[in-house]
Amino acid sequence: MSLWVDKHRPKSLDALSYHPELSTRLSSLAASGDFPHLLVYGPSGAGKKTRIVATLKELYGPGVNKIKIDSRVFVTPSNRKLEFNVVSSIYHMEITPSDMGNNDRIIIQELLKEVAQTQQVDLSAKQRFKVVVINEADSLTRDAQAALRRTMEKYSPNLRLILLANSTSNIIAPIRSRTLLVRVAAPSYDDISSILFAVAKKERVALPPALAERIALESGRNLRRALLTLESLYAQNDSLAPDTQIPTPDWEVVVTSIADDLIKDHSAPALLKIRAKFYDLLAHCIPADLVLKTLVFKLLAKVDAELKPEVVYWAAFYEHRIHMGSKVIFHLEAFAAKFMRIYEIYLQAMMDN
Amino acid sequence: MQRNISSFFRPKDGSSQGQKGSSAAVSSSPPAARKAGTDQENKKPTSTTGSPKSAKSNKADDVKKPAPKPAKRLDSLFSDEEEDVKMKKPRSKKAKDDDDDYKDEPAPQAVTISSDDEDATASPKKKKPTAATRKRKQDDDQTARPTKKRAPAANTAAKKEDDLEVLADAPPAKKKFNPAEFAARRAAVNTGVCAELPEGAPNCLAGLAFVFTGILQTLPRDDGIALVKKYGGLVRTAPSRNTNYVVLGEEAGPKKLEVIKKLGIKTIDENELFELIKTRPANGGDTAEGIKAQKKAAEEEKKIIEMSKTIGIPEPAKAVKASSSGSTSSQASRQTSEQVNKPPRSLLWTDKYAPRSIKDICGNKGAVQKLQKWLEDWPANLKANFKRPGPDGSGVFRAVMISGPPGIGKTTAAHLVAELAGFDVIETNASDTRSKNVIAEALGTVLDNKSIAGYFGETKQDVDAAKRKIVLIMDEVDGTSAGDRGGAVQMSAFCKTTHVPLILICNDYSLQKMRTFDRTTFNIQFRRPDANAIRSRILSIAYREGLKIPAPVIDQLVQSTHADIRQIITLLSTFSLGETGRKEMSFEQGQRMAQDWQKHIVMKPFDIASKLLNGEMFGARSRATLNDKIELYFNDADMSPLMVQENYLRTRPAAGANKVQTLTQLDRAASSISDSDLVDRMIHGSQQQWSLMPLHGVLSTVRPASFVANGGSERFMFTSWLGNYSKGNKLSRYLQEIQSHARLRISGDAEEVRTQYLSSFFDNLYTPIATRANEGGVEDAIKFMDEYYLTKEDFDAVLELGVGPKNGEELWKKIPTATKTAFTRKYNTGSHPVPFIRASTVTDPRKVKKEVPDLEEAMDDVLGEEEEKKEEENEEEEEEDTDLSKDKYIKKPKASAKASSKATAKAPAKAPAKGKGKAKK
Repeated sequence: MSLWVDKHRPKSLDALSYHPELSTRLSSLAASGDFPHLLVYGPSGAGKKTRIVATLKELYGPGVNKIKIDSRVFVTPSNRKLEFNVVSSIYHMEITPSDMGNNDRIIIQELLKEVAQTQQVDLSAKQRFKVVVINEADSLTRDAQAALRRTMEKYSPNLRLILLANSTSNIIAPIRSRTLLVRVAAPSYDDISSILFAVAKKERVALPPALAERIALESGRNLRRALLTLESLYAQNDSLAPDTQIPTPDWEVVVTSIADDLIKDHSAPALLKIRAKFYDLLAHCIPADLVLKTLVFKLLAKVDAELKPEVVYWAAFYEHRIHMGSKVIFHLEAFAAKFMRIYEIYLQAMMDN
Repeated sequence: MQRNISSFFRPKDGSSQGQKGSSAAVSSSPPAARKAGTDQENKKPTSTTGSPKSAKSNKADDVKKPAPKPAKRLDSLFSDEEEDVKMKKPRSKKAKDDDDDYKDEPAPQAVTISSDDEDATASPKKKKPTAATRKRKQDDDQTARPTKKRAPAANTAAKKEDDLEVLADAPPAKKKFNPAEFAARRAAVNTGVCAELPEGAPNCLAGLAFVFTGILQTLPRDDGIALVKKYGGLVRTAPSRNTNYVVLGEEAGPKKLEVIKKLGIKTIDENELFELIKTRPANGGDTAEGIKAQKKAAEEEKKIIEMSKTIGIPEPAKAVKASSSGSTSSQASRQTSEQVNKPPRSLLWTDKYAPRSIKDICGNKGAVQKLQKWLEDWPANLKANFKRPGPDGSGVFRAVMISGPPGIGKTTAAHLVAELAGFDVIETNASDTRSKNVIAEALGTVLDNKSIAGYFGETKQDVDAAKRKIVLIMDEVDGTSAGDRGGAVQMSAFCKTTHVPLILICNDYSLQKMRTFDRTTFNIQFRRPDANAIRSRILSIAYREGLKIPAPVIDQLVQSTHADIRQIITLLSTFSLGETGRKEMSFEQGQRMAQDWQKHIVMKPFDIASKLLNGEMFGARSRATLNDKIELYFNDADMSPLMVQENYLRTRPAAGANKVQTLTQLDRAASSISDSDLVDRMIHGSQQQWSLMPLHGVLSTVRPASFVANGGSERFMFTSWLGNYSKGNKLSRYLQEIQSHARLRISGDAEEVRTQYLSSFFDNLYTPIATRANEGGVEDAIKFMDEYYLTKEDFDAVLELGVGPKNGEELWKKIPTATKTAFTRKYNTGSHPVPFIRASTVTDPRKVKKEVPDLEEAMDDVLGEEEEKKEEENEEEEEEDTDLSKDKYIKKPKASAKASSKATAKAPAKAPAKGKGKAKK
């Protein structure tokens, strides 16, 4: 009953279908006995985590697949108690310090040191070191990253780190220099289609090649999204045809309606309505930069070529602000207001001519 | 903080005025006509905006210049702005450029004026002739005053008649109300010239009533009103039979003009008003009004002198008389005689002149009567067991709640009423602890008591049976602090059962914590008394103290203190101490003192938003400086930016502005708010640059408001940011929970779960239940939940997290209740896998019963023993799972014990490691 994306996830390095050279590199690293700290980065849905789990299996054997979740309690300097989930097998441990927001430094300092100061208990283990996987490393605060630097060197006999990130730009240089950078590129459209076929075959679903291509295209080279789309398509339709309509995620529907509003009506009440939709998306945990990015691409499809550079310029301008500031709605709204203005000016100029 | 910043930012006189003024004001800003050191300096700020020419202009100049000159100047000014619009139009095509610098942007008002459509620009032109005639009218014998460009004298009276004709007849016939024109009119106020205010004999306008209407050429209306008041004149809002003069400006309302014409009231312009002030003798002299006014004043003075004898602490000789007239109780006379013996200097004025009888209380007569009646009827009502509501419905209440702003005599009234009705008073206030227990203990015994104060009275009277009554006054009920938890509820419970009358006093009855008194007390509201009610009392106090204060000054103090009598008395007391021998307060002194002592009221977010956004502050006539606007932000630095952000889209677009102009202003406001967020980050982020607060205020509040501010806005809303923020936090917590539960199956982080997985979760959880609940849909959904270790809470969270077409909360409501309960029952009957064992959810059935510890203190002793027992048991069982398989109650002490042992074990091990680390570094 698992979703296909989870059911058919490859468990070992040799089962991975695309980026073969990366897979061989990882397996040789695992075999070398001198496994370095890794910084694995790549876009969402490219298979970073899958590769790491497979690499861990290569390192330690099937034991790493027996995982459990512990709930740990940490006390901040201001005496607040924080609950923190740790996913671990006997060989490795997986943490997401950014769950703790600004307190991630405590996790890094306390938890990592605790792990690093003890040696591998299982004498029959293949490796002498333990591995800690840090998810969302690019959203670690500066403090936490600084706390990580020295720990990485000092405890390297006992501890190897695998950092997972979407891009390296938020990772401070000292950490980048201490790790082996592994880029997991998004799969190509062909990669995705072939995986879709493979999964469809396993599930005994007749998948028309044209539809597979369309799904791949729609997914934006995100394999997870492609597989989830395929499954929901299969669930919603009796049979798959090349022209079956591909459902868009709920939030994207809202973003599309925002784009429509922006094109249609330029006034303060319209902006108020758009603000309400922005709020709705943000409150429902859709990241602001994703909203802006999606919105811009929707808008670009609707405006004339002449206007595109300006729209993109302002989108980039306000995306930067989203990252610099704290109240993201202000910047989204400012972008909407800006777009209304330049579009209205453009329309009036067209009419005058 | 606030003070510092404001003083730091206080600009040189007038420099910030030009900021938001129309370009006309900006162009002529050099402060020229400034007479330093006079008291009037504050009162003629528009003079600083006058052009240098205006100051220097002499008579010869005036004659040379033809009359229409100023009009022409105005014309050119407007055409300038038209050009501006033309210039802007092509430029606006490349909107990016014009946006980067806001120096060359026209001030917001420029947009109101420089609209494209015909009539907005036409209307100022139409006005010009009238402007010219008005100029011409000014008398030439006023040459002393450096007013601007005066035309040769004309027949004033005839001209005025003409004007009146034109104004009265033309507007209703020809003009329809046009918002664009109205805005233009507002903006094009006066010529930027301000008249020098004249000096006259004190109180020379006594007995005269004035009405101001229309736009005055050289005098802002507020200044005019202040001027008239200063010289003892009365200012009314609408013309009536009693009005002596109407100070008529341009384009007065047609209705008013009609009334003026009908009643035949004399109309003057500001110059004639000045003349009036200069020529009239002090106190109105021997004119009819003057004599009348003098008579009236004399009468009033007599009354005040009369009154001043009765107020305050009576002189010993009069003590008996005062007490017998003021109150009948022996208690009062005892008190007063006691007080008389004390040296009077040691008393505060507020105590010295506290009301001694009901009629001394200023204002709130009705409320006091209500209170009095309630208290007098109390014993009868008690007998009737509070079943008879009585005419005002107060009969069913054992307690009464007096609410009202501070300083208007609530406590005094309560005491006086109690005294008058022959009750002894027991009072508690915020200085006493009033927690639940204390109140229960203290009141529980008091409430059934009888007073014995009468037995110990100095006067050897018989103990009056009535004296054995007591009343409990609970002052400052809303001033409960953290230590007073549960006090309000307890008090309200007493209100239902008390056997003595309870008078509760609070400031703000609308507070949430006062809700509990809604049903148990009879609410009597005290309102701020108006100036009339206070004036005579203050005057008589002043008389008693030998201060001479004109009535207008008192009115001013009343206004600035928001009718806080106590504060006014304190102010006067301070004033009398300030300079030795200072016994007279002039109008200006009063004004200044009122300003200095203006009750600093922290404005509420709504007030701030509407003040900023309704356009008055940014109008051409506004005299609010940038600092005043920043000051508004500092009233509530957290809320005001949010309120502006919420409501800047709710103002009406500027009149006459076209769509692009409106959007441009919106865009500017939005981007300024966006700028402010970056500054906010620098303040509240890791940098903690608190000195940037004023900048944040400007960017987040003042500047956006300046772009969009306009009169006649929609209703303002409370900021939705806070609600959405906390909702976002809540949902992201849910999301994290889902992610951590499903973690064993999925690979994504929380964000990916939301953007990618959620749709599939939704399809697999909601859809089966919604579409085929009876064909195994419910089972399928539960199976899916178990597969991903999702709990029932996670199920709800998935529904809640959806937006738009997958707004699960809405959809879930449409599912029949039967299906929902079937799902819940089904889910609850089965057992479900959890990804990790929560120590708290596992309970040993045998020990469950013990898990009802009520009193934590009591358990401590027992715990020690039990813990040992458990320890032994545990050792027999497998060590490994102890912390998981224990129930909650056992686990707690165990964990702490374990933790402490761990800590102690760790400490020595850690210490050297740490030391080593340090040494290395």
